[in-house]
Amino acid sequence: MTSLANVLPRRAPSVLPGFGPALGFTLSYLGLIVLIPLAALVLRPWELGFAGFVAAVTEPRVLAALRLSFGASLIAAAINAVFGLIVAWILVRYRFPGKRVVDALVDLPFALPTAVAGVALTALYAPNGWIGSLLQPLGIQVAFTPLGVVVALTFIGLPFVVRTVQPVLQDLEREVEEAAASLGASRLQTMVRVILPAILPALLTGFALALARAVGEYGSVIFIAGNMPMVSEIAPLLIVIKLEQYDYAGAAAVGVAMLIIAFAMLLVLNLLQRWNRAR
Amino acid sequence: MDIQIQGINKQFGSFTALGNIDLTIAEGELVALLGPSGSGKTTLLRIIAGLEQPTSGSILFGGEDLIGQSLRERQVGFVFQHYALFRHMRVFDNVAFGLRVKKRRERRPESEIRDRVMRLLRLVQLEPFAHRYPSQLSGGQRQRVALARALAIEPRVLLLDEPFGALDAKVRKELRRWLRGLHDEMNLTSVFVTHDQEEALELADRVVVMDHGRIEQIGPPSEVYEHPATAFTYEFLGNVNRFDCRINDGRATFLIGEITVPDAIGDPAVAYVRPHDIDVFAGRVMSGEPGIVRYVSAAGPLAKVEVAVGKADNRLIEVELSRPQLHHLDLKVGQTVYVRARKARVFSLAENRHPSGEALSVKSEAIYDDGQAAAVASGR
Repeated sequence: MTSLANVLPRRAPSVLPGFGPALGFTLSYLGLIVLIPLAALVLRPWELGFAGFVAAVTEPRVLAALRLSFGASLIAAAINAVFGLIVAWILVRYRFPGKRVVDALVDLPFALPTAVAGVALTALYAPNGWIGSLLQPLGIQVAFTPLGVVVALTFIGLPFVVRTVQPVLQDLEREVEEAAASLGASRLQTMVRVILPAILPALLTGFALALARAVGEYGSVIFIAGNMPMVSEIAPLLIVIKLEQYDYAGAAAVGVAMLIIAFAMLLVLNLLQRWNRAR
Repeated sequence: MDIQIQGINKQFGSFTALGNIDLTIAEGELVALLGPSGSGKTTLLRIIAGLEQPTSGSILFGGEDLIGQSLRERQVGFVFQHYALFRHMRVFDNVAFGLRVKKRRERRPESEIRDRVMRLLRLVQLEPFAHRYPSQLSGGQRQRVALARALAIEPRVLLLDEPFGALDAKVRKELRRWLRGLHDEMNLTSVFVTHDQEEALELADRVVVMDHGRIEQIGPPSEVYEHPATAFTYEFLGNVNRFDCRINDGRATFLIGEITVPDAIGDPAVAYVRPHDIDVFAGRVMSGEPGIVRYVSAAGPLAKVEVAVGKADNRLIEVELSRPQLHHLDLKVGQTVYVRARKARVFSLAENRHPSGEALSVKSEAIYDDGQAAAVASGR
């Protein structure tokens, strides 16, 4: 009697029951929430035909928007990686009055409606705003330029880096730093050779999350960016514009292009992680 | 390199972690700082290392005052209880770390570093593991890596903080013996912290017993064990039964015996009896205290027996019997027996810090009349 159980590799009995139902649930849930919408998106632009799709995504305005979206997101994520790390470090390593308030502040970009953030940032950085009026004489204009896009994306990405690095820093034993110092390492050497390698995986994860979030951001950016085609128009906005013009296939084409680029970037980051862990 | 510790005080806020510690450690000596948690032993070690700054006092290595010198400049090898290895580095790189972070003009060429590291790994018997990560090693191996890493910088002194604390009993014993051999070979002045009296007594040339930020006693292991200077030391080194005791005309009387004591000892005093210094009788004996057997454990070379004595049987006494004795007595839980101290130590509580007790035998004329209720219990 050859039953299915004999054909399938025998699973080791586990103390945690319910592997089958749990996996089934996970797959159906992911399918419903993630895969089906994405599949619909990927299928849509092909009514243009392959040549049509390529033409739609290589339009100069689309290319400029994609370049801005991903370029600004990378810059913002990089800024957050540096300063988010410093914020996390301070929150973990030092005691100071108001620490809890600072800790809570970090999460605000999560909670604030992004449109509100966009309006606030625009008011601040506009040429007549508090910060904008200070920068104006220096010849720096933030609002309504690509720089404004970077500012908005930095704002919304900060919590991702802080919240991924913080617990890892917390776990880092003080003793390891003391050991490095007792072996003659300077503070800089301890930082570069001992601490940074230990938190690098978490930092990469935080960077990836901030990047992913920034690429998809819409609400805060459209207020501060000025949305000039070819200059400060982000890809998600371009999609909305195309939709408003009933160019559904064109919108989907831009969407698919974003999907592919984002997926490729996250894949590279994941591979970096794995390489780092295997080392 | 000898170490001189002079008048070290350490305050944490209003808490005195160390009070006026003076200690000289000779070159090539292996010294144990022994004490319960909170006794200040680790703080003292960390001050010697420079990981902690004392509130006052000075530390001298070979006559050179180190206060104000940073950890980097002191050149001490420090081994942490939880190894503190660099997890992202291979064993080889862990050991090489101290050699590679040296200033450029002091740094040796990489080929020399390689030779040195391999020599150290051979010394700690970990040569085949050079390319593993710490997570791929057992606890004992990790601690040996930590040791090799500390030795790599050619430290002036070696400091070990509970080096075997996180290891299981068997590995601990092996590593202890191995460390002793290594120390004898290298002759490096070493200080280690432990709360395990057996470890301190077995490994060290000299034991420093600490309690509440003070040194209770300093001496070779045999002396500290045989002649504890204070009640604390006596209680800390080995199991002990503690009894309140009354002093009358040079005789100290306590629950399970009485001994003559010098006049210097007055009330209030306390008597200590080691579990193996208590006799158990199945029948009534002179000055034997009746009690009920509550627990018998025959595992191990000595049998452990707990006897409840005193009014309402509320006092549990720990007794250790040899196997033949246990066999002879054939003790059962719930059985009534008589216990009597064979040997006791009395410390005057008033002058706890000064050695004033004398080891004396309990009067030995008491009749031991196995099982037959012959002698009448002394009228206490």
